Amino acid sequence: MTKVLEISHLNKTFGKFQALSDVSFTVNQGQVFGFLGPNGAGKTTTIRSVLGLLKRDSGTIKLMGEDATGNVLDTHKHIAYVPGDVYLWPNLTGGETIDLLLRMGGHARTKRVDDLIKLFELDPRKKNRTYSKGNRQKVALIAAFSANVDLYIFDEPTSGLDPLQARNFQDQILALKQAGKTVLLSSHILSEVEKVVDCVAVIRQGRIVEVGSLTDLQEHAALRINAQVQDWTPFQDYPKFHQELNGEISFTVARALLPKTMTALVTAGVTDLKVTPPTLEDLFMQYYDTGAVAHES
Amino acid sequence: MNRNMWWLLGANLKSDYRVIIVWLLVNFSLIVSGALKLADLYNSPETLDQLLTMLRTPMMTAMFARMPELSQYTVAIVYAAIMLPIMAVLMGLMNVQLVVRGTRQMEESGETELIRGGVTTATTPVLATIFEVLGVNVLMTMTMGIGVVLIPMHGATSGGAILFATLLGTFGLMVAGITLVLSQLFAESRSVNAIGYGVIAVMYVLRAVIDVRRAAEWRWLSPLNWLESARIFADNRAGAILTQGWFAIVLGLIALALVNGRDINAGLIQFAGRGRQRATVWLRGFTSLFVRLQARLVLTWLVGLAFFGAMFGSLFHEVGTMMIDNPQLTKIIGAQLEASMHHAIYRHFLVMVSMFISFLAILAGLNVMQRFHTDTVRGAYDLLGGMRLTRLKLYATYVSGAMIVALCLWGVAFMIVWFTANMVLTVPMDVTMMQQALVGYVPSIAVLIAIAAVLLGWAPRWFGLIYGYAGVMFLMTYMKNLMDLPMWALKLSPYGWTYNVPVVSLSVVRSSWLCGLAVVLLIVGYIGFKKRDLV
Ligand SMILES: Nc1ncnc2c1ncn2[C@@H]1O[C@H](COP(=O)(O)OP(=O)(O)OP(=O)(O)O)[C@@H](O)[C@H]1O
Ligand SMILES: [Mg+2]
Repeated sequence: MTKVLEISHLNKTFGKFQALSDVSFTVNQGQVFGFLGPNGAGKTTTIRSVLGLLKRDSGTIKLMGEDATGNVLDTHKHIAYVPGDVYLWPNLTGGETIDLLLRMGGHARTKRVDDLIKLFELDPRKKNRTYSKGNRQKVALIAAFSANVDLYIFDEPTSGLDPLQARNFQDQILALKQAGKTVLLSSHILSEVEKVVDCVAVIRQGRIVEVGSLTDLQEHAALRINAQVQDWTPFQDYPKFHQELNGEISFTVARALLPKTMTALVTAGVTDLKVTPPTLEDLFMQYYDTGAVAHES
Repeated sequence: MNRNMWWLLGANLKSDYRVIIVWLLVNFSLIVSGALKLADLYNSPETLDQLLTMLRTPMMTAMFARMPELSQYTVAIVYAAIMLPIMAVLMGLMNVQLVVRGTRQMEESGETELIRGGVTTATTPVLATIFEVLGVNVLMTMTMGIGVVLIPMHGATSGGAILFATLLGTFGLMVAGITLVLSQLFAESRSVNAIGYGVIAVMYVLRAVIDVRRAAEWRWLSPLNWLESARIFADNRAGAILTQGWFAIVLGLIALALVNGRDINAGLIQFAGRGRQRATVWLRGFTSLFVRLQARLVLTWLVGLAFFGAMFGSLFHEVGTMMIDNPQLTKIIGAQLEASMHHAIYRHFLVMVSMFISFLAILAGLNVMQRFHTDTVRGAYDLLGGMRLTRLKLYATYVSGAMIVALCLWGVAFMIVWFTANMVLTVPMDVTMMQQALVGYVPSIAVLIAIAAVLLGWAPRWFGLIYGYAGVMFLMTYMKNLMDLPMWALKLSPYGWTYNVPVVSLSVVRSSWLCGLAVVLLIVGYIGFKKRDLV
C-alpha cells in the first residue's frame, strides 16, 4: 500500500507550550482517515505543520514519499485543503473565489464545479462578505472537491454545515473513496465521521493516544460487566468498580482478561450477568475524559 | 447607561492603555522638550527676532504655522504658534486610532456581537468609546497643560497654558467625533482609519496653503486655522474651544443616531453584494489576487498624494515672491548671489515638500505590507495553505509590492509637484535640482520599507512599531532646524542620511551604500520569513 502521508515524531512548541509531542501516524492510499480529538488537542496544528504553514521543531512529514514542506510547488500538487475557519476576501464573489482557488492550484475548471455549486446550493454571485459561515465553508469545499488530487485534507469540515449539507459532504467523501482517493478528515465528533472513515487517530493534549481501524479499536476497548454475586470483594480492584444498592456490581475489563474474570465470577457465585461492549461514542468519551484507555489496566 | 457600558469601557481601557500611555509620553515629552529648546535657543531679543524672520518666510509658514501679527513677541507666543498645529495633528491621530479600535475593530473581531447579544443596545459600544476618548482627552489636556506650565518661558501665563491645552483637547474630541461618524458610515476599519488620517492630512495641507497665501477669507475651512486664530499668550482668544466642542457634541450625537439605524458589521450604505459568477481571465494567481486586493488602497493614496503634490507645487510661486520682499532672508539662507537666491529658496522649500511626500509614500508602502499581517491574523493564508505558493513568492510579492507602491507614489507625486510648480512660476524649476531630489529620496524610502520587511519576517506582531518609528523620525527631521536637534539623532533613520537633499546633493557613494543596506535588510527579512509560522 502506498503511503500518502507519513508523519513521524512530529514536535511543535509555541513559545514554552508544547502543542504537539511525538505525533506519528500514516495515511495510506485509498483510506479515509479520521483525525479526532477534543478542542485544543492539536489537530489543526498538525495539519498546518503538514502544509508548512507552521514550522515544526522536529520530526518528519512525508507526502507521497517526499518531504511535505520541502518544495511546496511539487508536493502541494498532490493536495487540496479546506481549513476549519474559512476566511474569504470580502470583495470577491464566491464564484470568483472558486475559480481563483482552482487556478492557483493549477486545476482545470470542469463541469463538476457547476454540479457541486448546485448540489451545495451556493449562490456564486454573492460577495464573500455576505456569506454565512457555512456558505464560506461551501466555497472552499467546492473548490477542493473540484480539484483532482491525491490527498484531500479537511479540518472540521462540517462544523458550519446544516444536516442536509453535511450529508452531501459525506456523499462526496464516499465518492472520493470510491475513486481511490485519500482523505484526511479532522473532527471532534466521531459520529460525524463514523460512517465514512476506515481508520482513526485520536489526539489528546498534543499526543496521539490511539491509532487504528474502527473495528480494531472496538476490539481493544474494555467491556462492561454487570453482575449479581455472593462475594464482591475479589472485584473491588477492577477499574470503574461500583456497587448498587441492590447489591449489583459493575466494573470494566479488557477483552483479553475476560476468561480469567469469568472464572472469578463463577467462584464468587454469580447469579446474574450482563456483558456489554462500549459504543464508539463511549469509547471516545473515555479518550476525551482521561486520555488513558481502560484496557491499559 | 447600563452596567454593560461600564464593563465595556473597562474592557476598552484594558486593551488600549498601552497605546494611551505611549501617546501620553510622546505628547508630554514633545511639549516639554519643545519649550525647553525654544526657551534656551531664543532667549535674547535678537535671536528671537531672527527666529521670527525665519518663521515668517512662506516656507516656514507652510511647514509650521502662521505667526500672529503683533507688535511685541515673546518666546511663549512663538512656541504656542508653532506647537499648536503639530500637537493638534498628533492629538487627531491618537483620537482616530482610539475610536477605530473601540468601534470598528471591536466589531470586526466579533466582540461587539458578543456584547450586543447580551442585554445591551446598539449605542452601548459607541457610548463606551465616547467616554473613553472623553477621559483620554481630558487626561491629555491636563498633562500637556502641566507640561507648559512647568517650563519657564518668557511671556508664558498659566491662563495661556490652559487655553493651549484645552484647544488641543477639544480638537482631539472633534476628530474623535468625525471618526465616530465615519465608523458608522464605513464597514471596514481600514477604510475608517484611512479616511480619518486623510482628513487630518487634508487639514494640515489646507492650513499650509491658506496661511502661505494669506487667504484670510478661507481660514474657516481648516480647523487648524481656527487654532492659530487663538493667538495664545497674546490675546488668548478662546472661541475655537466652543466651536470645536460643539462640533464634537453634534458629531457624537449624529454617530449615536446613525448606529441605531445600521446593522451590525455593516456600513450605513449596504451594498447588495452581488457580482460576477466567474472570475475574469485577469484573476490568475497570487500576484493578480494581490493586485486586486491592494488596488483600492493604492488608488486612495494616489489621489491623496496627487492632491498634496498639487497643493505644495502651487506654493512655489509665493515662496519665490516673498523672498524678494524680504531682503533679511539673505542672512538665513546664506549670502548667495542674487540670481541664485531663487534657486536656493526653492531648494529649501523642495526639501520640505519632498520630505513630506516621501513620508506619505512610505506610509502607503507600509500599508500595503501590513495587509499581509492583518490577512494572516484573519486566516486568509490558512485557505492558501494547500496552494502551490512558496514562502519566497509570498514575501517577494508583499515586499516588492510595498516597495513599488512607495517608489511609484513618490515619483508620481513628485512629478505633480514639479508640474504645478512650473505652471505657477515664470522661470521653470531647475531640472538638475529636481532630478537630484527625485533620485535622492529613493534610497531612504527603500531602506525604510526594507526595515519594515525585517519586522514582517522576524516580529510581525510588532509591525505597528514601524509607523511609530517612521513618524517620530520624520517629525525630528522636520523640526531639526527649529529645535536645533543634533545630527546623530537624525541618523537613527534613513531620513538623516539623506538629510537636506537636494540642498546638499546626495553622493553616489552614500546612495549606493543605502541601497546595498536595503538589499541586505530585505534578505535578512526573508530569512526570518522563511522560518516563521504563517498563522
Ligand atoms: N499560533 C499559536 N500560538 C500559540 N498557541 C497556539 C497557536 N496555535 C495553536 N495553539 C495552541 O495549540 C493547541 C492546539 O491547538 P489546535 O488549534 O491544533 O487544536 P485543535 O485540535 O485544532 O482544536 P479545535 O478542535 O478546537 O480546533 C491549543 O492549546 C492552542 O491554544
Ligand atoms: Mg482546529
